[in-house]
Amino acid sequence: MATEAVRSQVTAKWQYAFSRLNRDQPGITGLLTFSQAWMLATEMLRPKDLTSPESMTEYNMDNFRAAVAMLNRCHRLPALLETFLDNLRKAFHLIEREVQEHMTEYERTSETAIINRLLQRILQWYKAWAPPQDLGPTCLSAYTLNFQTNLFSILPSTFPTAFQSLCVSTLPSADPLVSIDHVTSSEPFWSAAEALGLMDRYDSIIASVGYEHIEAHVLSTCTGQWERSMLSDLRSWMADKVIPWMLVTYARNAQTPEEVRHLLQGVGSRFEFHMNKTLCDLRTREIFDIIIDFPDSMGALHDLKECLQRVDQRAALVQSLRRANRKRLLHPGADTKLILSQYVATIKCLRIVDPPGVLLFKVADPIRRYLRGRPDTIRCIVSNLVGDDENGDSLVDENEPIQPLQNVDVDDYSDPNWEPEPIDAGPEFRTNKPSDIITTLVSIYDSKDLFVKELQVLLAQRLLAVTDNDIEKIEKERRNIEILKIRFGEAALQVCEVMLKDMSDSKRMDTHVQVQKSSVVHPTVISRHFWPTLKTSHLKMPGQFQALQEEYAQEFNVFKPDKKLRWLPQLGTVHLELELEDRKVDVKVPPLEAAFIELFSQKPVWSMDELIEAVGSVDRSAALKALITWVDLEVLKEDAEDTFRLLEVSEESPDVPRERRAVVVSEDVPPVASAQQQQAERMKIYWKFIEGMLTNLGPLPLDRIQSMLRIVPGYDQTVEQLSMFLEAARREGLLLVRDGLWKLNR
Amino acid sequence: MKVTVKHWHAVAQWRWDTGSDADNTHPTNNEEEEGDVCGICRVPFEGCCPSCRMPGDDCPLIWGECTHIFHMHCLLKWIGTAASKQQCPMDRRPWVTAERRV
Amino acid sequence: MDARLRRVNKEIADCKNDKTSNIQIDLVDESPFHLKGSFPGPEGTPYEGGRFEVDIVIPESYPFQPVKMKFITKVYHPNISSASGAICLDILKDAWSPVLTLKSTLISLQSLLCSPEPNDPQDAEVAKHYTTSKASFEETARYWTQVYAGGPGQRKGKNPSKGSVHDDIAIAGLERVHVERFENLGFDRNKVIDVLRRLNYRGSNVAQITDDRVVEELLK
Repeated sequence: MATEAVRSQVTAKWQYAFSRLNRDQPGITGLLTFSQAWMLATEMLRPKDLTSPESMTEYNMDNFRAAVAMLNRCHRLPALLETFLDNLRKAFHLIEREVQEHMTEYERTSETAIINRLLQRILQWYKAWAPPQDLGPTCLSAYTLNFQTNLFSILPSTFPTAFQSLCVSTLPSADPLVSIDHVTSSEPFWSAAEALGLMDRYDSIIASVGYEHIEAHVLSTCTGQWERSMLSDLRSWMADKVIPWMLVTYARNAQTPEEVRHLLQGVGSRFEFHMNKTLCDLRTREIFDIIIDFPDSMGALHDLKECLQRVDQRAALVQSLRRANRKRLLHPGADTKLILSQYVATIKCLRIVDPPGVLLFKVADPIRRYLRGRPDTIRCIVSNLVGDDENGDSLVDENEPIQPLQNVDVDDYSDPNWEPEPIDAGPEFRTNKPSDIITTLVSIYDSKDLFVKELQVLLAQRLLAVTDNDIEKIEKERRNIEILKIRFGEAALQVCEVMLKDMSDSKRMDTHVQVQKSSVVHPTVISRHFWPTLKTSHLKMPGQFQALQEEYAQEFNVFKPDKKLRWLPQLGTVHLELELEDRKVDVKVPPLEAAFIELFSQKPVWSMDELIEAVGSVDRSAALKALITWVDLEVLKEDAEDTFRLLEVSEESPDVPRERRAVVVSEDVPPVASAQQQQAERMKIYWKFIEGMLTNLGPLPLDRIQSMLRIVPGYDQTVEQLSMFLEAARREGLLLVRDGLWKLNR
Repeated sequence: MKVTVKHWHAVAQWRWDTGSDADNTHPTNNEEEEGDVCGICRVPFEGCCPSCRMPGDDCPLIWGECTHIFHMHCLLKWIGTAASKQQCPMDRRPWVTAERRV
Repeated sequence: MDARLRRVNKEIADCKNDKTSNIQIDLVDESPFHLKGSFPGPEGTPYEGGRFEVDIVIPESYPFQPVKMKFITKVYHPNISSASGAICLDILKDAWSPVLTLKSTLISLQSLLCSPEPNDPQDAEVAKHYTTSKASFEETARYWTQVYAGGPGQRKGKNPSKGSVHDDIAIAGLERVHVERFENLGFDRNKVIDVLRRLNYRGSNVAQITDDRVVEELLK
């Protein structure tokens, strides 16, 4: 039960409200006029169905204004606005219906024009429902906010994608023939979108449309295009195509250039950055092939350098290249020569991209470590050094100046051009002053001694292969040696000089001896102790060969009384003519082949063992190889196992025409043990120690093995030599390596 | 069958004929070993003395009547010192260079 | 590489490869021209069982000048200074020949230990001891070998810190009774050892040197 006090309070309130609405008019006339004004105002503001005739209703604005003034006097405008907005909400189903219709149609046809039409239609609703100006800006903004809120709530989840497609359709066409006008013609759309608050709501969608457009363009125009720089093209494309679109999208309403600049500043730099990043990412992905293509990929490298200055993708580049190298380069299937040339190209390319050399240092490290573990790396580098490459694909530029090997430089504190190391340089980074390629390659190993040894081996092989004392070839080697002297120093190549002198001395001596008494023998006389270890052999030349040797040695002794010759019968080449009953065979063969065929001229059938015994002692595989040579030439035939017979008469059917071919049968094994082979021999002594160590102590890392071997008397191998040896043992299946630990393969 | 040698590119090493080695018949046995060295510089005869760069005729040997052999340059250097008293370093007898038998 | 260095390197390597001679050459510091050689004392001599170290300096004009060698290990030998280790051997002086090597020179030193030459002494007192009483000399030389060259008997024998009195007398090559006799007259033991050593108070000499003569020396 209400108390008296409550009742009087209610009465007072009612009285107050009544008098406010009645405005002190007699009776309730005031209340009645207020009611009329309220009715009029709410009715006029009520959102109408645009599809029905009622929407055509014209209202007298004067009456409306008077009604609003009246309501204002009664402080009822907020209530009016509330009612209006409430009505708006209730009427929104009208818009929702149309949105649904349009969306259904769009989903059926995927026509972006439908969405455009929808937006224009919504804009129509928006305008139609907008309260008259007279209600003031607060009212209008409250309306806009509510309209947008209602709109967003009814837009289906499929709308953003449709909107995005519509945005995409406003982009300039990739087809240069299509006029840019199409971009400007999208203005109504953008205006509608802006009016409806869609610009703000879908800001990221619009931006992504721009990004994707740029991305697509960069990828389609730049992928695989490495020869020339693409950046300037991309920039002018941005200016010609993207900026007009940005203008109509973001700066439609700008009045002055300053305003335009202000509006586009943020989004413009974001787009510019995105273009750089896309290109940078693309080149990062392509880097391995770009390096392969070098020097035909200079443009791409310069672009990459420029992009990297804007976009910090250096770490990603290193990672990508390292990954590609690991996958495509540093595996057993790749030829050492290929790895070397890709390494050299990498050096050249990364020097362009990053002159201080930090990237190169990081990328090169795994390659260098891998190359160090390969058994034929030194030989490859050296044969390249002496221009031994058959395909002439030299690692070294012809025009690169020849200079002495540089020492890994110590910091020069007095250098006025000193610059701090780049911030991403690791602690182990060594400033890579542009040293020449050869220095870089040689520095894969700690000492150049192995190179010098290998050089000697290679030179020895090549010189021994020179027949007929070909002056020109020897001269070529001499020039090579002169060049190498500059690189490796005079002393290192002293031995090579002696070898070359032996060659020319041999020629001179032979000329002399031939005058004394002509001979078919033309020896290369070498100085022992100056030539690399030659493969030893117990071969003894039989029959006429021995006579020829003795005769020549005698004549030599006449010419050089204080010297004598000691033949190395396993080396050299013999040019023979065999006269058989029905044919002649003219061949150049290694000495062992010659020795065997000489024996067959004494007796037509020989067993392998007899043959081996008759020429001193040679190993079976070598003997077999020599015999196969004759079998291939159809001079010998293997009758029973290991028994060979001379074919005085060819067994081939006579009607097959045969050429008298001059055949050169060359040695496929180098007669000189390579420096690395010699090295391996030395290492073998230590195998027992390593085996024992790994048996007793289990898997060990390289460093540990090295430090333990140091205790072994006479051990003087570097850790690299050890590593090469272990790697060789691994290939032979003796060792396994996992996570840097070596263990016995059992 | 008749085998005719048209051309033989052979390879040989030269040695000083010191008259001492009967190992001609076993060329390969000798391959590994160092061979005779000059007592003064300890470098093999077929190598060159420390002051030379090219072996052979440029750095010849010298024979003493005492049958001792050295690099010529090494011996001359020794003989040139007062301490040598012109004696053979091997037997300390007065050095007399032998006429080479040819 | 210069000739001297090449030859020395080769000699060091040769020595390393030769396990039979038991002669060792090691670097002392970084320089290959300052070395330390060592060899075992020859069998059947008082030096047997000891290992003798020799300081080697290779002169600029090696091998045309002799190497400089002196004993690091103290040796009791007429041709080797008992104080400085200096060696009196002809091949280290005017009989040097360039065909001599570090190894062959060290072998010569080894054989010098077998055959002392008291007529051409480096250490006159030791030489006198040798000529006076070979047995006494050898005993002293053996004792030196024990004490300084790690010869046999050292380990199981006298504890040097405890028996240092005895040591001094043995090292000087004197008889304990002789030393104690003069010591009992009130002379300082070290002084007695010093005088008796200088007087070569050993073997048949003992009968020839009067006590007065010794006292006279002690009072000097």
